[in-house]
Amino acid sequence: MTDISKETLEKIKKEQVQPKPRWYFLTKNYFYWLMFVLTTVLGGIAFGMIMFITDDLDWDIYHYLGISLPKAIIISLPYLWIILLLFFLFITYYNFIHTRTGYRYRLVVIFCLSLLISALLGFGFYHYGWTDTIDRGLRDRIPGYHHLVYSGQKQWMQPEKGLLSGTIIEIKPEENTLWLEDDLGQKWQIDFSQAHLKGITSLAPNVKIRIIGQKLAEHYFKAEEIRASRGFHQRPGRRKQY
Amino acid sequence: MIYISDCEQKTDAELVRLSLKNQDYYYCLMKRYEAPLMNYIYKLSGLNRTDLEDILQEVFILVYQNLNDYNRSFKFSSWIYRIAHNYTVSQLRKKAQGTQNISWDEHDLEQIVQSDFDLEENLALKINYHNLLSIIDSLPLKYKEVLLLKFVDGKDYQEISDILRKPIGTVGTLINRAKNMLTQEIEKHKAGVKYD
Repeated sequence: MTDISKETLEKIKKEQVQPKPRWYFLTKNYFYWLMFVLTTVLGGIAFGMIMFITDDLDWDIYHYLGISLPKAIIISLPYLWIILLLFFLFITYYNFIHTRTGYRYRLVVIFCLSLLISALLGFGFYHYGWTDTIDRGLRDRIPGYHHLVYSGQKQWMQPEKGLLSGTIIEIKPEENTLWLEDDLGQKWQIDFSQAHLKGITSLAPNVKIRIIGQKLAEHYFKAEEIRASRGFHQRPGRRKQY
Repeated sequence: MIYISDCEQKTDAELVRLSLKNQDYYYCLMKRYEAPLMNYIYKLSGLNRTDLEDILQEVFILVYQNLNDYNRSFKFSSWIYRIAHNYTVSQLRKKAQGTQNISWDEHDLEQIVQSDFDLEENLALKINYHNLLSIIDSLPLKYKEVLLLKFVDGKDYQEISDILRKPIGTVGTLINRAKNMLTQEIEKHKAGVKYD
């Protein structure tokens, strides 16, 4: 009977087979952990962006758009970031199960844990305003990004439907009018004589506002309600324009 | 030259450490696992003796090349079984060769019967050994492999989990399903239903 062990040892010696170095395996293992951390952080960013975009939208104005709430939700969901979040969660799972002991955990446990970490990171990114910076960076640097995300800007830049958003340039209290530069750079004269303020105590230049009202003429709008922009957009100096 | 007697008192982990310094110690490690691995690969693949020896030799070389990857927090047997399992399955896929008819010995069957596998009742069905073994052999690979590891090689759930790189819960589920499937197939056989 063949002594396979003896034959194998001879082959190892003859062909000078050598064990791969320890650093090779350590590097491989660390690589998976590094990718795990990286994709978790990216998942956190995606989660933060979902929070940012969702919070930036106003959910009480859908009737102005002539649609139902369910339809408003379907239109408004940040699909791009939801898909990215799921993608990063999958990559996180893939990396985790390829670590030394990752396979010992069930898919649902790894998935829920990754989602929880991403949610915590995402909340942190959102809370400290990093998602606003990322959003601004993407809009400035990636052409077409704004088409992929239904943002507060898109939601409020519908003057024909009575919704307008922009930054106050000048106020003329004696005439009950103000000048507004909308998010696309157009200037509007706003009549606020019969408008009530919501979530904002006074009007001042450089403040970003959102207006519900009626377009009376080209670049002339009568305000019924003026409210502060939501999210981080309303902070002076944080976001001059899209 | 290292003799088997030099290694008898040494643990697997010690032999791994020594093999990395002196190739001759690797002979002891191979000798220790030659028979069980040959048996496992045979049961898994049904290959002929020549092919089995080729696969086992490649497995031993792979193990040697990856010795530095062995983590002492695992059982060495689980680690070497994992490499043998993965390599055998990959070879079978490459050859697009399904499992072949295997001649199991009665000892293997007794292992299954005497384990916690509740087959006593099914054995009372008077199915002969050959038919039962054919049924086991006809199960999908994922069920067959857990049956082999649990009932033929006597591995516990943690070891099977480490060999197949699956969570323990999944291993338990697979074993239960394999048992149920086997029982159903036996029932079919008893009822005279023809199975593949």
